[in-house]
Amino acid sequence: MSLSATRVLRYTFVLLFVWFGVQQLIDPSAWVVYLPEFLGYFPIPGEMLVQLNGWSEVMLALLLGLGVWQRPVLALLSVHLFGIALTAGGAVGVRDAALAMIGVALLLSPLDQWPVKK
Amino acid sequence: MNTSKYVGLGVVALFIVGAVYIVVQGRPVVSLREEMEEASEQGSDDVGTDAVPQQSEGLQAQTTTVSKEVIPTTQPAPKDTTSITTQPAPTAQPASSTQPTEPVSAGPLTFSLSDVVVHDTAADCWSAINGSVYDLTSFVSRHPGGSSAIKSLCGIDGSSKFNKQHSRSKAAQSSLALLKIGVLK
Repeated sequence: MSLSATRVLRYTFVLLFVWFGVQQLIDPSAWVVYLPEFLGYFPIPGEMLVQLNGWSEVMLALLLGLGVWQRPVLALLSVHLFGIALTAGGAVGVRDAALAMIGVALLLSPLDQWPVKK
Repeated sequence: MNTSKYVGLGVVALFIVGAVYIVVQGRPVVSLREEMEEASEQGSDDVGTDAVPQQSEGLQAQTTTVSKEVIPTTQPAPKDTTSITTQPAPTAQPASSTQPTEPVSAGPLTFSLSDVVVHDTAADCWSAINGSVYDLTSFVSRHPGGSSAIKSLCGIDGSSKFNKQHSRSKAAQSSLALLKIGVLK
């Protein structure tokens, strides 16, 4: 995969997580229903969990966009997407699993030069 | 340490600050109850942004003053509740807790069936199920079995309908628990 393709995929991944992260921050109540069952036993409000998850996604996307710690961030985001895919199931799960595989592909491909100078 | 690590640590610090802000913003209602008690002792409502004194026959007036630091719910306060605690929640929807039994507060909100009845539309859908009250508004369009099943529960005691369909489904009960807003008086 060429470096240009890698960069396109990387920034697409960044935009994906920024969008979903911001949506979770803005309207967490709409995303509470997607929380997995076991979180129901946590003494933490669901909306707080959703907002924390959204903020995490935005920060990880920021790291990926800046090109800092790309491989660990990609691994983390891919695992996150796989978890969502397993929890959601059905068509949504298939879609998220495919997105996770894109993350894995980025993880395994040679990293492009990151924008921030050393 | 090169620039990339500085940038990375800066983002991590930013994440921590944001996470602390989110947690503080949704702090437990215990402190909010203390603020309300303090405000009532002082005889002022300077703590609250929304003060809805509720009076009904035989019941004392209840105030639902909310700290400016806590985002109040948009749902009107129930008319004849005996104990009211506001849950930290965004203004878009009433609070939805992940706990299967009790929210993070000194006590659950209590509602009567007459409070539930007024929320009988798809855009504002409450239902009483097995002694608890749930805000099903956000779930109307997301129910795997279609929205009509949820709409049929709006504004009523839906215990029989729910139990008939989902009494053996842990997934349904766990999903329902996430939408709990109080208990039925």
